[in-house]
Amino acid sequence: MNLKLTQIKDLPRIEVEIRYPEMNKTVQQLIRRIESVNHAIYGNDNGRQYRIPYEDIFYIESVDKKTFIYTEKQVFRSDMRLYQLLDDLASFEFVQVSKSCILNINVLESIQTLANSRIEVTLQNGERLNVSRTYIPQIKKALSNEA
Amino acid sequence: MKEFFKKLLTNFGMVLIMAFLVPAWVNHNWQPFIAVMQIFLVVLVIHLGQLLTNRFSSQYRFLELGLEFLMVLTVVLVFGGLFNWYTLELIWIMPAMVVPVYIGAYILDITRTRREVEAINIQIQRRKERLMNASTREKDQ
Repeated sequence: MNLKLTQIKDLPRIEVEIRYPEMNKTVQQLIRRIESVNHAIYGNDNGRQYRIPYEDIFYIESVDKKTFIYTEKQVFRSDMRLYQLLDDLASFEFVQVSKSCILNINVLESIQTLANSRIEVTLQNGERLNVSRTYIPQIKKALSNEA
Repeated sequence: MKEFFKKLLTNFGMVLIMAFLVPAWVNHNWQPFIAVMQIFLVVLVIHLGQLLTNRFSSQYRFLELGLEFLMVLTVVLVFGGLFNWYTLELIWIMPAMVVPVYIGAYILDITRTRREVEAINIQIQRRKERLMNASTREKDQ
């Protein structure tokens, strides 16, 4: 893949053109990645509102009907419900891993079964999350689309 | 292998139904076929019940398993009672049938899940390698 960057000072906004010999999974992945930069969720932290790009989100969790957005080091509160976010995030490499959690598959480090037959994923920042076995096929499918 | 067993069991199910349906049709004796359909109905209700029990999640796995087992046993006892599968004196036969089937199904489920987890780890690994190769190529160019 060749990466060509051109600075044009009077251009009103960033333009991205992808040239490809054939549409394949790598190109599709690239498109999703670039599009995800344009998409963001607004979350609150200590009364201040922040714009959180999709690519910075590690996972989103619903606890007691409250929605929390987790990035690598920060946690934000969102007014949106988990199912609303899932609708938006489904096409951007996010997958539901339990009834109350949506995960960015880009931060998935590994998955393991525990002695008590529970399933757990490890994220790039070392954090661990429980996974419901009913969502395993969805994770597999999300990664298959990627591979 | 998974597909092989899937096809095998599907064909077995169809053959079983036809093996009871055709003689019932010919001999005008529907009792054996009805018994097979009763078992099918119970299995169907258990699978529908699992869709409900799967919604329940607890930090204690044994609670989830206990609820699922209770649901299976209740369905078998209720439908078994409706279909006259047992008398009150021999009610213990029902759990005696349910327990080994449930344990067998649970072991199969664990084995399948472990295989799927391994497959996911391979997918993650391949993805990492691909991304690493892409970034190395980029640096070289």
